[in-house]
Amino acid sequence: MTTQLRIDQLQFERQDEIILQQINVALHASEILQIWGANGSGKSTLLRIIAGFIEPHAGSIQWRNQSIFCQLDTYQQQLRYLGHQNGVKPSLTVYENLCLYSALTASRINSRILNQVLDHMNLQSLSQTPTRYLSAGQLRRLSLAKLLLNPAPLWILDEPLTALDSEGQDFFKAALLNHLSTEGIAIIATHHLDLTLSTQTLHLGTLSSHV
Amino acid sequence: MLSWFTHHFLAPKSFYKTSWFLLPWLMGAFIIFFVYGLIAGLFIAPADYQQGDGFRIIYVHVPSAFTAMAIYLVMAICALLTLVWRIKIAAICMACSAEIGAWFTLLALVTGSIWGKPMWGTWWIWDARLTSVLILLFLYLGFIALRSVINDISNRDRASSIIALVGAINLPIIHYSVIWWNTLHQGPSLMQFAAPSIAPAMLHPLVSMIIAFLLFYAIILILRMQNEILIREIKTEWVKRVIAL
Amino acid sequence: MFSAFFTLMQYEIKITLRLAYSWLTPLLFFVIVVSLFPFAVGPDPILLLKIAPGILWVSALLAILISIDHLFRDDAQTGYLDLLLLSPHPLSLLMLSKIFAHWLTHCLPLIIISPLLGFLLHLPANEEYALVMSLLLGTPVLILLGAIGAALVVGIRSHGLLLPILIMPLYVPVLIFGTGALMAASLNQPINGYLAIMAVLLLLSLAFAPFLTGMALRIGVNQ
Repeated sequence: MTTQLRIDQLQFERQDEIILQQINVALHASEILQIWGANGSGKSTLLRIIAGFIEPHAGSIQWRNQSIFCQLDTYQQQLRYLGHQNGVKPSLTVYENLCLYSALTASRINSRILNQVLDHMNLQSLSQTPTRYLSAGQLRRLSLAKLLLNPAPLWILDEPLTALDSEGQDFFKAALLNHLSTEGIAIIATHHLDLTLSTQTLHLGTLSSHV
Repeated sequence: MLSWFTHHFLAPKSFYKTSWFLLPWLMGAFIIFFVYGLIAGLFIAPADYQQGDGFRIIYVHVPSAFTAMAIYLVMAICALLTLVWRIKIAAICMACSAEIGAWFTLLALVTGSIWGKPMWGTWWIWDARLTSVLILLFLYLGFIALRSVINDISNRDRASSIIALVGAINLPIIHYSVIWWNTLHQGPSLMQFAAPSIAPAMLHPLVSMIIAFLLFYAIILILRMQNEILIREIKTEWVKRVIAL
Repeated sequence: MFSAFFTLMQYEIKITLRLAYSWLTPLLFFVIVVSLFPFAVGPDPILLLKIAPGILWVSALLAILISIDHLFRDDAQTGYLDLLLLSPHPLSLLMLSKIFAHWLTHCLPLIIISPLLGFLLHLPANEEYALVMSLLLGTPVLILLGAIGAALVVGIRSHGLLLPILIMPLYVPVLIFGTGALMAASLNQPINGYLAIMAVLLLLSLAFAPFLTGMALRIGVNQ
């Protein structure tokens, strides 16, 4: 089985302080990498580096055997990134946010698919509500709904389960399993996911990675 | 060939070492040009038939204005090298040039103002050249201000490269629009600085002083760059050896 | 690709219109600053007419400057900028779309109200025309140049007055030709030459600014 995403000897410093060091990862299709670590251990930074927003100071990240920084445009089209913030416009409604998102990701989404996703995430009743009135958990559902709008092989998720109720967590787990069954890969920074789902874990702070 | 050049000759470490050999030569040349320019400019060149000895401030004013412009050009070229080819030494050169350039700009403004007192009877006139130099000072200060608020070195270099490039694209436009504005508002200008033709006995010391100022910039730049290289590479073995010496 | 341009623009406009303060603030600022001048220099109509080009242009410039800071800041806080950066569409095009939407919502109201303020400063009809035309051509340049600066400082927390310091020197040519057009109109000279130069400035900034803004944003978002 070929390696889809490979990280070698990754190192990142901020103001002369080493934040990430000796990060080595090899991910194959249908695998989940779960990233653990205390607050401030560099989880979010690592995810932003893997998503191609920040360049590491040393080491390499390869997607399908080519450095991501040599193919940034094509690479970033194949990933879906969800940071701590939800990336929604507070004055647009739930429905408008999804429309805007599908325009930005260049996906042809008709209203039928949109409504299906809204139904699936249990957001249908809120679809005409401006998102600034949504609770933290509802916002999180909305940003997870974006993941379902159009498929991409690589998910990079920063604390996706924060503020979600147990029903929301179940939705997420179902979506994740579906993603894996279509040979997707996920990299998730979280404390909440039970380890049985993830195939690899990376502990930050201790600077060691084990399978 | 090119990659050898950028990776070996232009690597901070080898720049640090080779620049030590350059320094004495630059200093020697600086002293020759500076002493000749100073003596010839202050004593040998004839006094101006209108301005008397007052014109001799040209030997400080014009070279500092010229050097200030030249430094911004150097910064813009370094900015392009930083953004496109990620050449580390170019970013260091750009970073170290800014303050020197700002000081030369300030010197040009102050000497221009001192020159203005006997010529125009006032310390400041919104003359086209002085005004463009003033805006150049603002560009330098903006560049330095932006660098001072960004913590991460590589972000700092790349962000300030962009503002240096934008400034460099705009500088000619600003310069010509200011000249045009000046002629519009002042009518036929009474205050043309440099006469279109200048006697050789006045010109030679001026050229000599311009070269001396550029050499002075080069010397200060190299010293500052050496310092910056040591700071940036503080964790490497070779810097530890250099510091231990 | 162009559908994304228009969709993004349409939503940006919708958002601004829903938050009335975001487009009303620069407009009110413009009106108030212009009306402060008679208090500062006296109500003499001849003096006001003489300095009206400067008053109107500098006030418009400052009003636009304060609006530019919001161009990317809210989006950075909500994480929406990450989505823009990850989008498969060319970033320059998305930037242009945002900039154009910003111009429509923040500058156009200002231009529409400017003849009224000109009227308060006793501008004659041909100067009013010069004012509107020069603002139409000049304000997009201000926004395009400002966007580069706004993208650079987007991630800086304590940026204070950094943005104006960075970009105000770049505004000098626009200011010179904008007020120049009004001065020429006051002397009953043709203003087409001024407008042509401003159009050239506009084309130049259209060519460079969206690309540089995108580049600046990729750097700025990580600070």
